[in-house]
Amino acid sequence: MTQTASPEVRPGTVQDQDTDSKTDLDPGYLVVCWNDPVNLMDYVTHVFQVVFGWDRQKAERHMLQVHEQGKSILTRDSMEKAEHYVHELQKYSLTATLERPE
Amino acid sequence: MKTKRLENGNLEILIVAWEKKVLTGLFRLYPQPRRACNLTKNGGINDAEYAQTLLEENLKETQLHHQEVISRLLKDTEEQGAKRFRIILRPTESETLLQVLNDIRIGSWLALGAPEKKLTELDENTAPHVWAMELATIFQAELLEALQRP
Repeated sequence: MTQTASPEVRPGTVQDQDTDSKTDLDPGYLVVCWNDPVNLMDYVTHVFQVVFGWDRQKAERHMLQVHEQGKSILTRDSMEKAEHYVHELQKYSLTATLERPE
Repeated sequence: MKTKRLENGNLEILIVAWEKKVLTGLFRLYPQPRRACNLTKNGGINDAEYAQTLLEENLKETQLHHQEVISRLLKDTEEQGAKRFRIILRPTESETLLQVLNDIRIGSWLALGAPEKKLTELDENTAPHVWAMELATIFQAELLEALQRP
């Protein structure tokens, strides 16, 4: 295993932790879940937990955002991953889409 | 319907004869026509048409797989004495059952014209859909509660 030298950081300055240039260049895709009048709130919470591996609290927060504000941005990721999430959410019959950040 | 989480992560469901009859009747309604849901609203995806086709194919495959699972499910039901039945679901099968029950609910709702509020008056055309929706909701809620239990 090769070692890399640590970058020099001057006192009083904050090192930028976000060194992933891909993130800067590619805004990625948003996974958005939209409100509908038919899916049960507990069901939506459960689906978020299963698809994203979230704890109940986080899943409930997003479910309530969908319910009260009409939509919730669930995650931002690469095209492939975002598309995978949308497929999984739609398998559960949630209204989920893939969007480019504005 | 009684549910119990087993130590190996599977779910045990105990149902009585009439519940098995109701579930069998509900499963006959599956698959329901799916809502056309576009992959994207604001676009910005390369080859969006192809991506949409992939999504629709994926959903169709899922429905076929679900049909296989539910037809096996009631066949594998183990009789527990007089008029009692036991179903063992692996975690993936629990999720399948949840999706199937939800699809039945949504299909019935669409058949009712996608009403925003519960119908207060029923007739011979709407009653079967309302009943299907209500019964699927009862089983779905029970299953959800069991899956959320630690």
